[in-house]
Amino acid sequence: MNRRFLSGLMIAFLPVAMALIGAVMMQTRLETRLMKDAETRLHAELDSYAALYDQRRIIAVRQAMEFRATTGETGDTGALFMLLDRQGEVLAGNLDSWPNDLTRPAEGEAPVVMPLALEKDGQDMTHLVAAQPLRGGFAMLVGVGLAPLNDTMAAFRRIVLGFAALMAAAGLLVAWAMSYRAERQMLALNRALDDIGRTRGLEQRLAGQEGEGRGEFATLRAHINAMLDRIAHLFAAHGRLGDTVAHEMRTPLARIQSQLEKLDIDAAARAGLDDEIRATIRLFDSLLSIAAMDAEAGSSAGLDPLDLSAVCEGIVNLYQPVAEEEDRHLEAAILPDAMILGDGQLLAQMVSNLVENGIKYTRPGDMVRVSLSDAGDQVVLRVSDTGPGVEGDVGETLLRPFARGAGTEAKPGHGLGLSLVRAIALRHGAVLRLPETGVGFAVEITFRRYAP
Amino acid sequence: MAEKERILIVEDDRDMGAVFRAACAELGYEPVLMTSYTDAIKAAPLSRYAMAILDRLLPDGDGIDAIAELKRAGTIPAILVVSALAHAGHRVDGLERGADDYLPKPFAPEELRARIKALVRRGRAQATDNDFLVFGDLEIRIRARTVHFRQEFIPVSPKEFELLMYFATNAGVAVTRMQLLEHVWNLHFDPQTNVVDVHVGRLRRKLEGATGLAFIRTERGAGYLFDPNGGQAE
Repeated sequence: MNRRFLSGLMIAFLPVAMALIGAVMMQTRLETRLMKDAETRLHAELDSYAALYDQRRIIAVRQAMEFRATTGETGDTGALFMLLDRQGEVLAGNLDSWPNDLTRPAEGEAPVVMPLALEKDGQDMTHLVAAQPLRGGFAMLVGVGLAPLNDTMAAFRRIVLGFAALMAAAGLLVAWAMSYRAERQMLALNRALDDIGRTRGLEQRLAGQEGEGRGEFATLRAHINAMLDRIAHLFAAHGRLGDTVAHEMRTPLARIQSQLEKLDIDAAARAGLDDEIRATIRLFDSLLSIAAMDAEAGSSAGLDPLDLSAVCEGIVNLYQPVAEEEDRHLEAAILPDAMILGDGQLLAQMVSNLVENGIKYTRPGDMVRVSLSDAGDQVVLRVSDTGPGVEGDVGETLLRPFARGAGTEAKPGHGLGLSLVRAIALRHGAVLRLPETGVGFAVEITFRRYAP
Repeated sequence: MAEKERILIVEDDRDMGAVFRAACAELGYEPVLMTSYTDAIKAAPLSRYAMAILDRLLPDGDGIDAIAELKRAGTIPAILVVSALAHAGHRVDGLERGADDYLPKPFAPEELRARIKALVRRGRAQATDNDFLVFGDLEIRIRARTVHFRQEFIPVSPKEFELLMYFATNAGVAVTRMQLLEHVWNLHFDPQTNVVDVHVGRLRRKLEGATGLAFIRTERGAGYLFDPNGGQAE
């Protein structure tokens, strides 16, 4: 049973249940009322026979019953009547014998009134009967048939159940249609938001659905679009701020650098100052890049299908001679043709940072290994080394900007390499882990494969 | 006296404009300075230029949007974008939109001069079907991707061949480490290590070992220079 049918059933259940409770209450009231009518008719019969007995004695009652029995005049209600003498012999009536279930009341006792099931003329019928003693030891039985009452109640139940079934079906249909529409709108909304988040970027807005009108979904869409406007505005302001900060900081540095040339200082001192400026710019670029990529994390806007294997191989080839000069073994085990959605420059920078860290924080003779392996619809990039690793349980704090491992203060750097790697991984929707290693240090990044 | 070639400079910052003008004058060109996007587009068809230097964040727009219009005038063979918008994405975007080179601010004056020289040289270069680049006894066979000295084969890796080709096409002009990273490895970020120096060092040693000549020299502060005549090896 699908979800939409269940939600339709739940929506339809309440009104149908309420209608059924109302119908049961009506049925009880109607049944009570009809039973009262039957009792009234029964008492009218009793009263008329009692009046006849009082005025003209037993003979008149007997003649009246015989006449009704002979003519079959019992009305359309299946009336019963019977007269017994002192010995219990039947004097008149339309029954063969006094019913076993009915106690014959003694003279002076109150009449006995009760419903009674009898077989009459080959049919099982229910009656409301009254047994009344008459003066002189006679007894009289009078009954009215309950068949019309039962027929009316049965017809009422049929009508109520029929309507309940119709109401349930109609409710289910309406609820199903409503939930189908709501679910379709929700699906379209989710798809559109996913599209905005992952692919098309913040310049896109939610478009209205056909026939959506001006309901709650239209209001929700308007609210989401207003929020997207605000986010896009903040995002653009963030980008402008980054560009402005970049411009305002780089331009004066460029002036300083050009003035340096005019200073009468030795070449080594100037080269040192140039290196300082370059390092400052690199630090500043890394911070701006981390902020920009954090803002774009998970969005595929600006990313293209590319071969991560080729990026890894390119960086390994670039650093191979450096590793050899530094007496490190740079090894690669790269799965071919691993296509992902990415930015080639950022990914190259990520792999380059990891390999550089591997070379920088290991000892001569150590190994740095770059592997790219298959994991179903994912590919796992792992850069590991056999160096001294990181002291203490620093875990993921190493991924924060300016965090550095204990004992690495003497090495050049600002502690931004790994946080830039983390930001680039997040920008690509990849998951970065620092797995436990027996020896050395490892970083593992899991990318989703590109499926065209 | 022959008229000097002109370089169109588009820069709104007065001091930076002066830096560009000084670099052009030092290299023997006449600088023409424009301080806005609109003025640059107006100035482009009025003269022939050896190249243009273009800033990005101009008061009336992003200079990168002017590249297509400047080139359409047919008077500017090469454009160097010099900008504070400097991360890899900005550079790639600039190159994809038609810039011939992209120099991030701040820059060492030597790097600016090296890039101007390389671009002017490229702008002048005529298309050629030559299969060889010959520097004395050193011969680079382009189609075969091999290097020979006095008919002796010098084994170089494919990347070393690309590196040598970049040097050879910029012979006599200093090239910076960032230029090499961008044009040989297509990397637009500044790695912390001396990775370019290691590759150049290997190529230099191979060439010196096979020829006894120093074709590649280190230019202090600028980068490297390919000497077409091959200097004396140390």
